[in-house]
Amino acid sequence: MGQKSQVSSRGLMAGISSMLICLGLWAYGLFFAITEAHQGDVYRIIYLHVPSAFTCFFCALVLFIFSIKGLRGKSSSLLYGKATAEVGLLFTIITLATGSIWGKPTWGVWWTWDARLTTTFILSLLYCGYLLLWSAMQPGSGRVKVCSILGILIFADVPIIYKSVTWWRTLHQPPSILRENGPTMAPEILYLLLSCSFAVICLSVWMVWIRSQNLKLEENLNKASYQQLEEQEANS
Amino acid sequence: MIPSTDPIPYIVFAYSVGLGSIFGYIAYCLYQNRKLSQLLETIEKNRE
Repeated sequence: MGQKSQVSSRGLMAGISSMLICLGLWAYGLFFAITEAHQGDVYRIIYLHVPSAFTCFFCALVLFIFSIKGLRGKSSSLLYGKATAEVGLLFTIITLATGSIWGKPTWGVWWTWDARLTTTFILSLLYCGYLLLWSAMQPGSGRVKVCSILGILIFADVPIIYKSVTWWRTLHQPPSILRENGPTMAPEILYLLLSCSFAVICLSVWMVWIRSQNLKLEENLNKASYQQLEEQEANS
Repeated sequence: MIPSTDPIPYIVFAYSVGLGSIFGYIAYCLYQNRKLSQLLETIEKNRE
């Protein structure tokens, strides 16, 4: 407390580095990567769509870990859980939006109630539900328990999303990276895609960190305001 | 088969939405961090 800003210069540098790496990789994907034989240039949306999807799954995993910690009595992990759910929701919305934009020229429709799309949409609703619960409930053990259970349920949706393209007949393409006979992509596309995914996941970790710093600051601010009010009342 | 529609507007639209959301959120977080730190500092000074 009493510091001008909670974000240290080292933290800021880490964030700027992650952003620059992401921007560099996206620029490479947009202007220099090879053109895909079947889809043409519109496939370049993949460098934003797939890393965003991996990141929203990663956030669900992190939220699961914080939820387990929360259920084991470490209530402070709920604060990180909220920050993770916010970032997870952001990347789920980006996944849905970019997928929809990509779907129009390739499938001919902006949206269809396909299994992969619907289960991802449910993930976004679950993240929204988590954030609503967090805001609606009073701080305490009840909120920790309910939010932690929902955090675990959110992670349970991830394998359903992943397997949805094999369990049901869908318009969405089947897995092209994690499959039994190896990836179906050209190595040039695959390596760039994996690099983009790793960079976006690193950026998301930084985003969770900075958001949790803000949530801690909010908590400190509430405590300080409350103490000030008490002192004013005692003086009067 | 390569889609016959012009891909550029779709690519621009997708990247605008995605990058706008990510960097908008980061900018909001940094702004909020600055504001909250200033508020906290003011309260601390008032108490002193």
